[in-house]
Amino acid sequence: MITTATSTKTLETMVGMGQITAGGPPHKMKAVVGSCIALSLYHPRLKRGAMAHIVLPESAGRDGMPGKFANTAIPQMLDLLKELNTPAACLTAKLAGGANMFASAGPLRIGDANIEAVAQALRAAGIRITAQDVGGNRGRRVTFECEGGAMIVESAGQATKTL
Amino acid sequence: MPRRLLVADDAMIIRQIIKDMAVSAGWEVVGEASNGQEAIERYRELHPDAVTLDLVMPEHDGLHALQGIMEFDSEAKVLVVSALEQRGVLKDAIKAGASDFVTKPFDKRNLAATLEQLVPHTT
Amino acid sequence: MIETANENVKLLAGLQELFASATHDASAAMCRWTDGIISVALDALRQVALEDVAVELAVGDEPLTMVVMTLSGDLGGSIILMFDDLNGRQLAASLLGREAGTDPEWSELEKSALMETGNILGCAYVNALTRLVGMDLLPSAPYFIQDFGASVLQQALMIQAAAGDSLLLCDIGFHRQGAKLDWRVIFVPTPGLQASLAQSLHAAPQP
Repeated sequence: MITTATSTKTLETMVGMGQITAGGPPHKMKAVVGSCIALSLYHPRLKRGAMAHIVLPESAGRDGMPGKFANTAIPQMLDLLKELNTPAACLTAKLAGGANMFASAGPLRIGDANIEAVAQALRAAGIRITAQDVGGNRGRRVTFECEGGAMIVESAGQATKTL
Repeated sequence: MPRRLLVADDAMIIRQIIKDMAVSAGWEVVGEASNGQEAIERYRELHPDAVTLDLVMPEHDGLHALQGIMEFDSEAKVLVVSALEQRGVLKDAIKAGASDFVTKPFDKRNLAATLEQLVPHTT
Repeated sequence: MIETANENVKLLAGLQELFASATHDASAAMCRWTDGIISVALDALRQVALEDVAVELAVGDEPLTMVVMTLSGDLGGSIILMFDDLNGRQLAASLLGREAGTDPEWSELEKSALMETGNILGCAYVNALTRLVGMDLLPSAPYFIQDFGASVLQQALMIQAAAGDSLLLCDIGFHRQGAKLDWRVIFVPTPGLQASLAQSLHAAPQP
């Protein structure tokens, strides 16, 4: 699901796995991530942004929600922001997540793969990463604020970081 | 002279339960191990009369330990104590030299009796 | 389309019976482990949309105490026991035969009690499902994790998420002498394990 919040009455949106939300102040977008990546794109002058909850690195032609894969989420975020009259130029990115919570049965460390894929997709789109809190083995509760573009990252048992 | 027991399980609570049961039944618990490789090393060092051995352990598992212990001492008395009771797993354990098998969660009296059968108390 | 939907309903009903049967065995193991005090029962076999997982399972965004076991291979999955801190410590205390700890940090023995609970429960499921699919399933040693439930659940869901946007989860509840407890087990089978279980349904003799 993709949501666009334009009402000033909408204060907080929980962005679930594979979802993208876009909007302006006073909107806050939240996500709880482990191996997933919470990615925000923000235009500082227009104060509009979008956040995606990215699950997997690469769609490889598979169907799925656009926000689910790093390579489809970013183009979709740009389209959503365009609908809000927010051009891609001057957008900056912040990301959090990509943890490895436990040794899982899969062949790859999905958190690491997600970090790399998001970085690559941002490079391809010409969008600069200005801050990130990624990797490790802890979950993160992320809040992205459209007023100012801060990404607040909380991890259990650790100090809150403001990106 | 009390019989000497090595207890190998990654779960501290299980090691505690087995130790308490074994001491009540007249055993001397001479050592503990929390993974398969440690179980092999402690066996070589301590030469116990019997070992209780879990199968699912981190790093090196119980089957690895069983093989290592039997290579060192083909007469070793190893009682596998595991929550896994798949036919394939039991077969592998017996084939690798396990003397017997007790399923978790176990009855303490049953465990004591099984150990007694492996290494009878001599008066 | 209706036929496919009906087949899907039948498949889910069949899988629900399989997991209920496996849960019955797991419950017997839990009863033995807790001297008859605690049992488990299948609350629901859920098919949940990817984006709704955290909300549907009501894992919230507060830290939980969890024990995780993974099953490796194509016939695999993850088993996640979830407790809030208070309930987790109460379970550990009852297993250790003592009062619940009050230190902010869990002791190694308390963690061990919870992990072994996960091991016994997880292996009980593994034993039951092995009988159904006819192949050995390989569980990991348990992990003790205190973190956001949604974060841990995400990793457990990855293999299913790679295959589609609709996820199958077993939601299992704990009971103490008949009363429902605020603990749960979530079993996330891989698509491979789901397919093997579905095949075993077709192979089962018709009544």
